[in-house]
Amino acid sequence: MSDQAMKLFEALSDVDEELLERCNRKESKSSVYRVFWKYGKTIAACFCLVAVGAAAWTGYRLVTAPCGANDSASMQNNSPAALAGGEQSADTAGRGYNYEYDEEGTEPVTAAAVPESQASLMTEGMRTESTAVDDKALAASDEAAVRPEIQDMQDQTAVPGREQASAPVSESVKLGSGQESDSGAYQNMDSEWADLLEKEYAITDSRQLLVWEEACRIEPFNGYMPTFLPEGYKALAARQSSDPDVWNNMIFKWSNGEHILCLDMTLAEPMTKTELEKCDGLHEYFAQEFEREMVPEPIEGQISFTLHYPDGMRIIFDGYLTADEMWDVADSVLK
Amino acid sequence: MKDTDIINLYWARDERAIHETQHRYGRYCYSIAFNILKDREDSDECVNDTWFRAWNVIPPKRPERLELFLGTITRNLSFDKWKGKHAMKRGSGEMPVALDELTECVPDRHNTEDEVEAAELGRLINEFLHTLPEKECNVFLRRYWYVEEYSEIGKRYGIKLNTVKTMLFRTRARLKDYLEKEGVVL
Repeated sequence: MSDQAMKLFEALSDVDEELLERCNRKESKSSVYRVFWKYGKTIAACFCLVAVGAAAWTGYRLVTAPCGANDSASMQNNSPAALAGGEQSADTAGRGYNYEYDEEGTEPVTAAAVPESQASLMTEGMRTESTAVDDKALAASDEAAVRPEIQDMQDQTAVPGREQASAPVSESVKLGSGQESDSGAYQNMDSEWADLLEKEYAITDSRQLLVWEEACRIEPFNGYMPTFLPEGYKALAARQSSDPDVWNNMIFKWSNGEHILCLDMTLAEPMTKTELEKCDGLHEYFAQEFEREMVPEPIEGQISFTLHYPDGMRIIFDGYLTADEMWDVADSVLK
Repeated sequence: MKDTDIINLYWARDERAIHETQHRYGRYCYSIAFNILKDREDSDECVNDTWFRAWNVIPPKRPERLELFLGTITRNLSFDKWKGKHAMKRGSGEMPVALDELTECVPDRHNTEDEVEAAELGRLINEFLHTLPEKECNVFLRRYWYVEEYSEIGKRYGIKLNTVKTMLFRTRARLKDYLEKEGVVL
């Protein structure tokens, strides 16, 4: 410590009393507002989850009508699993998905999990969405078959929130579920997909799983979703801290059934050049300066780097991709 | 008892003034002293010296904000005691860390003939603090006036530890720039 620092410290004794009084002031309105905001967000989030879960379940019951190819397509595109990107928060309708298929991936292994009436609806490449469809639901879906709303839902293939991406989606990319990929590849992916989802559910850290659709609406993170994904990748899971005080972090994961591409987003204060230089991380860059040549080479197939955006968003890109693929993903994120 | 009543006791040379001051501001002054000295005995001594000094300056002084007036005395006394104990030695606690951080604010110009006077430096720092947003100013003062730990500051204002550190880092850099622009030499 230097004499000059001591001079500064002493000079601070002459600070205006009003400034000192201000910093002594106890938390008043702002803390009340903060407390309200802290619990208000939790209550609002719970309400949204319940509402979305109820809407998704109602929609599922409406569209599961025992007819031909149209319904199977609608099941694929508009089922809760589809809307949730292949996965649903444990807080809502629960884990009502059966992913146990035979080797060909066409018929469920656990007969009890899928009623015969539903099993007959299954076509090649499709997966069931519920382990228990009761008769009432089937009756309701019969009725719903003639209702115009169903046709409207069948027409919906895009997941809300993704329309915000300005860049067109590449032909090789099918974001989220509802993708019409090659049925053979889709069948092979199912049991592996189930394993991946099981692992996501098994994670017991402080982050909770979200419905993908809802996660894609959360600002400002939804503005940083990639518009390019390597072939075969689709939405796997989204996570956010279950601590209502920790609002500034979200994790999005995509997978091709074998590997996971993860974007870990955190909103903080914008990083300065000096701070970046002091960072311990090896591969941390300003997004606006990031070039293809700066993508680190994979280590045992895995690439990981961090980009800092001007507004303070920090995204950790992590995945088992080639350098070119990872560059395309990062480049497609809004800069 | 209100501050005005306590000050009136000082003016009346009524020794109850000390007792009331101790009762009302004892903990406050002790925390300032302890943050700097990290020693109970020394902190108690500084607090007692604060009452002694207050007794000697009131009257003629009639401070508008008694709490801050006493806090400033305690701070100065504590820092003098700390300097005496830790001259040339690196001690424990937040004080050496805080001073190391303040070193970053020292402007780069060196001119042994034109060192700024303490009063002028105090005025400039005041001006600088008035340019800061309220939260940044509060955090800065809690760190370098009260010598509070990062975690305490974060808890007080409901902000994360890293945010406190980032905020202070930026404010120190801005203070250095400000002092350099003003041509300050320390």
